[in-house]
Amino acid sequence: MNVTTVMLVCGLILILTGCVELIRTRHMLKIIIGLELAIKAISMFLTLGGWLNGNMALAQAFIVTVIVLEVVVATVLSGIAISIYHKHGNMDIRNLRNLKG
Amino acid sequence: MTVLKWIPHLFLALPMLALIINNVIPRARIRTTTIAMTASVAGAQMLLALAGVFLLIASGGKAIRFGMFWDAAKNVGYFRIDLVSMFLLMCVGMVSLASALTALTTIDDHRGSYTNLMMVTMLGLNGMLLVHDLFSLYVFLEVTGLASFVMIGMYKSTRDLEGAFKYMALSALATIFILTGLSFLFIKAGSLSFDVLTPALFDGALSGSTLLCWVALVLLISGYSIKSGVAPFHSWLPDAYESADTAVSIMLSGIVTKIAGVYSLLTLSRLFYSVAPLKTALAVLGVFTILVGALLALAQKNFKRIAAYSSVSQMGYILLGLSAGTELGILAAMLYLFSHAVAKSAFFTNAAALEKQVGTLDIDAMGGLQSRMPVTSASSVVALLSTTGVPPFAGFWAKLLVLLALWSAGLRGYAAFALMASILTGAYFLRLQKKVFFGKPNPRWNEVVEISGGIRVSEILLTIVTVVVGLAFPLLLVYLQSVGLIG
Amino acid sequence: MNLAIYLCLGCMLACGIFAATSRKLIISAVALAVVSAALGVLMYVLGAHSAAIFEVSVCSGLVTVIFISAVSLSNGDRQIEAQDTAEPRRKKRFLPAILIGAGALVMIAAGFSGFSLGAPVAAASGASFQEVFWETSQADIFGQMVALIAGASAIVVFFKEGEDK
Repeated sequence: MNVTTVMLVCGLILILTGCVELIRTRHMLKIIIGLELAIKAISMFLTLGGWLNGNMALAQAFIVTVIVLEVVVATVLSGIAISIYHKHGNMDIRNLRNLKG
Repeated sequence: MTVLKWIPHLFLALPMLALIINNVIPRARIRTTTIAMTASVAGAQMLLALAGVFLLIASGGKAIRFGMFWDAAKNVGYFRIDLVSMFLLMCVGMVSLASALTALTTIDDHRGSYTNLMMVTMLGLNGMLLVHDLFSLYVFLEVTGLASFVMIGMYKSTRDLEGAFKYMALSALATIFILTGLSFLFIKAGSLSFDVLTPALFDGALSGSTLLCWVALVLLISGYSIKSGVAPFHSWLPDAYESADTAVSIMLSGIVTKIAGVYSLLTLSRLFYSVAPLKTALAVLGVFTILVGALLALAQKNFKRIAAYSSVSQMGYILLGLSAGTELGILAAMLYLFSHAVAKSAFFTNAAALEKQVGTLDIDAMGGLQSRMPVTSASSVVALLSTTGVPPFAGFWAKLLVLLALWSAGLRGYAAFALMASILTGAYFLRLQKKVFFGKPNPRWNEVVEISGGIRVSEILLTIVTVVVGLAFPLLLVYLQSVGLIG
Repeated sequence: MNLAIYLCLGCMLACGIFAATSRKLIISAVALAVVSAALGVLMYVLGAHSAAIFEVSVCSGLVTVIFISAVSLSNGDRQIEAQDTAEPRRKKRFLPAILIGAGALVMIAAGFSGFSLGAPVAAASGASFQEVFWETSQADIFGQMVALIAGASAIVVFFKEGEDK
């Protein structure tokens, strides 16, 4: 029962939680929370990879890049969510039913 | 030789320059010319890449590595360009040109934002084609996705925002899958550069980090499939295409899903060329996609939605070409990508023309428009025939090559299936044509005139390209054989 | 060191599941910030110093601020799940237990089957973080620049007050 295996499993649980949250929630802003949780777990996997391979510098470069990209994605997502809120008055994704077919 | 040296730099420098110019010059002055600037950058990219293909073949066909900006102390050359990338860069330029020409007419507001976002999208696509590292591929993929969402939601009408949001949610899921796969590969391999990732990663006992690599492969294929709109992950695609402005739909369907999804899958299959389950997975996905897309297209009533489901279906053919795993397969996939990009762009340009002149996209409400809008009708017929695979258009050769590649790789059942699915393609397109252009003229449309301006130019150009490439294709094959690219 | 790692992992897991299942958005945001802090400490313990700084300052700080601004700009903390009946609430209470139970089972299975990822290799050979980030991975920097430009255009498009179609 390695420390690395424990980390792997914890990360997997976190990713699963994030994905389930993203898919099943009805509130637009909670989708961002699900995404962020999963990205935390991914950062942990990247650190684990760097630790195991002795390549911490590369792993840190990856982590920093991922963090920057996810901040931008979170901002754009909340922008769209707020615009939709101004149209419908609440943040329920059941409102997004206009396009069907 | 020196010409070839600075061409790759231009692919990144030109859009950057246009971006700076667009934002520095005050809004009022640039308003009329900003889309023309986009069109000229796109056109320049197309011509440069075309020249680049021939120059590269002439100089031996090897990949070139280069770096931008300040001198890297280790001088590693973190960008690289090879034949496939050069060809795809030309496709990017061509589709962007079609989109910009359409935008001259359809986009009135937010012109500055359109140019900004187009330049960012082009930078993202070019970047994807120029990197040498799987992680950088993901970075530029994310950038392209970001710019696409914003372009879809640009006008902030309810439908636009809805399509943008659905696309974003599924894309976030794809990001999670891709990043998890990448981090698992990183745990085993220690680096994500193309030099380091080889099929040897998958050898050995199924335990420990090798197991993680297999899981990573599944996750990566799923993530890239979501991005490319392959079934069963295609549900975001029709909504996104329909709700976006048509110029944006041209960009999305013509090149973004292709480069974002298909080029990534191509990179995967080139890196891990001897991993057999990868090829089988691609073939099965391809077949499933063709079927699902075609069947769903038969039931649609909206012009753009039919085009969207058709795009889904045609993506399956490209996947089948990739799954053959041979050089011929890659060539077939590239050619299919090109001919479909041209045909689909033409189709969406027709949609823009119809929307502008007729005012609706419901095919049941239209009828007999062929006499009133001859140019649009002819271009639509050519696009339809090319997609179905009728000679002598470009699509026929592409489909033939895909079938040949599958046959020679031993995947005969798939080849037979692909041939028969062409019938389905013909079916839904013929239904569309009959309802919109042929048949009895609906008296509502007696005053409709043919479209003019940028959209007309774009329609004519794309039709000419389809016909010319189709007619000249045997010559092209002879030329490629003479330089030794295919056996 | 192992003890520190286990503590961080436990904290991350607990707060992460709490953030996902909580009903009020502000509490979710704060729990997410705690997860980021714990991850930052974990990264520091494993040797990724620069990444730890980045993680704590950006994710713990910036993303939480963005999120809470979005919530207040839209008054979105009104509970949508309040319209659920009592039954989904019971299902949600089981979710953390299911997750932790499944995780424990996987760990036991992994322990028995000898699943191991290998021992950590001694680090500090070759380039440092600064060299790798600014020189070898320049493509990533270029990508980040373009992403920031895209984000800026997005903010201009979405937050500008004006006529919508």
